Amino acid sequence: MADFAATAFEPIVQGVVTINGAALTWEGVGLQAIERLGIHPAGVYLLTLDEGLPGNAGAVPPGTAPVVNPDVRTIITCRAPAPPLVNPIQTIGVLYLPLVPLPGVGCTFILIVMADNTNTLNDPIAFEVNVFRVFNG
Amino acid sequence: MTDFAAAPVQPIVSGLVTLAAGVWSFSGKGCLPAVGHTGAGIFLLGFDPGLPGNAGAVQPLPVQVRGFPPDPTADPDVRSIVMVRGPFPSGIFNIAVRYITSPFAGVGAPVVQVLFANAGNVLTDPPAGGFDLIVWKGLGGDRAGPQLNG
Repeated sequence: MADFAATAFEPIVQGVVTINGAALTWEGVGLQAIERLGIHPAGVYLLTLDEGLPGNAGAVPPGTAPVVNPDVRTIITCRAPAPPLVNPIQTIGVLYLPLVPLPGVGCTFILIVMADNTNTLNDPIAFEVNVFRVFNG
Repeated sequence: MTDFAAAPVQPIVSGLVTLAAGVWSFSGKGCLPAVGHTGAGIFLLGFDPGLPGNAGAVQPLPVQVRGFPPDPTADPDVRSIVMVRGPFPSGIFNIAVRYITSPFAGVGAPVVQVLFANAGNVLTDPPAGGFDLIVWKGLGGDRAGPQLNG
């Protein structure tokens, strides 16, 4: 087996966001809060990393630039309504935000943005979120 | 490295769904070989009941504890990754999953449904190369519980 198999892996967030109208419900670990941004009624979610996890500083470690932090990974999978309804989401993006501008603190927030087939911000019925850190040696 | 790094993960499915001779089938671990193709873009895969330690079902949602509605799409501990294989362009713009619960109490969800749609959000099959499917359960240690700030 290659040495690459020994690459370390640090889970940061895992859970499910369920959306019911304007309400967001988070079930999982790694987040302190999830909220919409007021100017966007749909498709934009601000996740606050949990400061309370043992050993977790509540922040993605700093990178050379916040949005290009090289060691952070996110996987998002939408959950589907029963056919013939169709999940509307076609594009998903993430941004790691250092909303607390303290040197060396890193990113304490993650912004997730989703849009439909017309590039309009839109909500799925629910989505799974996995955020983890890898160590590139 | 944080304590959170010790969070256990339980693999459930790792495999590939492909089209051969007009029939979609699963190869890999964690699902039965026969794939239910119940309509364009709709794939039903039954979890393998024969795997050691695997009940062949995603565990039931403890609705009474977590306050979720009885909706299998809200099962909090299951995660999936779906990746379309070629030839490309695949025509697939939209992928989503459902975990379908058994009518029998306490069984959980023995079936995962994977849905694909095209640029117009019309349910559509992926190319014959099919798709990779990985399903696992995240066992997250202390549960934060439903949190609502939005």
